[in-house]
Amino acid sequence: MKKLVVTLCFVLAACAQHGDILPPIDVAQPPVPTDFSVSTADYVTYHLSWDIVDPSSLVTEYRVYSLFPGYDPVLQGTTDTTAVEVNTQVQVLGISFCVSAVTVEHVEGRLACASAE
Amino acid sequence: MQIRRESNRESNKGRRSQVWLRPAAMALLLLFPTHALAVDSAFLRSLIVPGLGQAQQGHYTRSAVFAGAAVATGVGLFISQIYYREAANKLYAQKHIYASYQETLNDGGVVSIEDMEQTYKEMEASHNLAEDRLVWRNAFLVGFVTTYAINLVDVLVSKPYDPEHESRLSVEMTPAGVKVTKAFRF
Repeated sequence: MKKLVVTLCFVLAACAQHGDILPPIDVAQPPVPTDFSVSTADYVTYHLSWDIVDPSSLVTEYRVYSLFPGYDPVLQGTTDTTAVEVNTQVQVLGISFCVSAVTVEHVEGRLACASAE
Repeated sequence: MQIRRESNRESNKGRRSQVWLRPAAMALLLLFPTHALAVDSAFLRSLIVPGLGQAQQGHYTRSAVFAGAAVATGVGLFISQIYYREAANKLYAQKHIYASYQETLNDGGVVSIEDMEQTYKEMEASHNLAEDRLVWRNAFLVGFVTTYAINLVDVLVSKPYDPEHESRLSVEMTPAGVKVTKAFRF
């Protein structure tokens, strides 16, 4: 009887192999760019500028994305300054831009998005 | 000469293998009453299909109960196992994705904190789902094993149905009045 119970326990353990969840990756929360603004005069050249709450928080670069409603953001490029100019070559209406900060740990923060004023 | 030696060896081997059978048979005789040996055919039937041995013994109600319980728990076990595996596979895939984030960071690649947090939330949800489904799976497994075990014990201890000893409907006149008795077979 004891052997039967032990065997049953082994069978149960063998069939239950989903294990535990992984521990969370220990990284610092990257800051989100603030006061993000997009301006344009001709809908071809867009001027993007933003601020960061804590500039000394080990942010190494910013990622700039273009965004059309209903689509995922498309990476336009990276910069280490807090202002950038994007040229779309042709007139583009209804476009938005997003920017995110990347830390030295290579972790990208949340996006801050805005459209042309 | 060689052949005789071989045959002696074979017969010794056979004798040795039969030695353990005697105490085993004695133990069986002690454990189960002698009438249990007469129902070995019913035991084998119940061993293969729960309730079949009881049907052979003439206990049809018990046979239906055991067969029904075995089918219900067996089907429940099968379905709950499928659902559990589905949740476990989903969890495994999310664990794999989450582990790949750490590898990407170690290799110098950039990982979005939103992606990491989203995957972690999904991983937690999948883990909870897998735990819940495991409880159901184990409940059905225990139910199935218990039904099967009780079915075997029942077929061993119960005697074949004897219609001569069946209690039929009886009417008895007593000083208090008429007493009607009906015994039900289970």
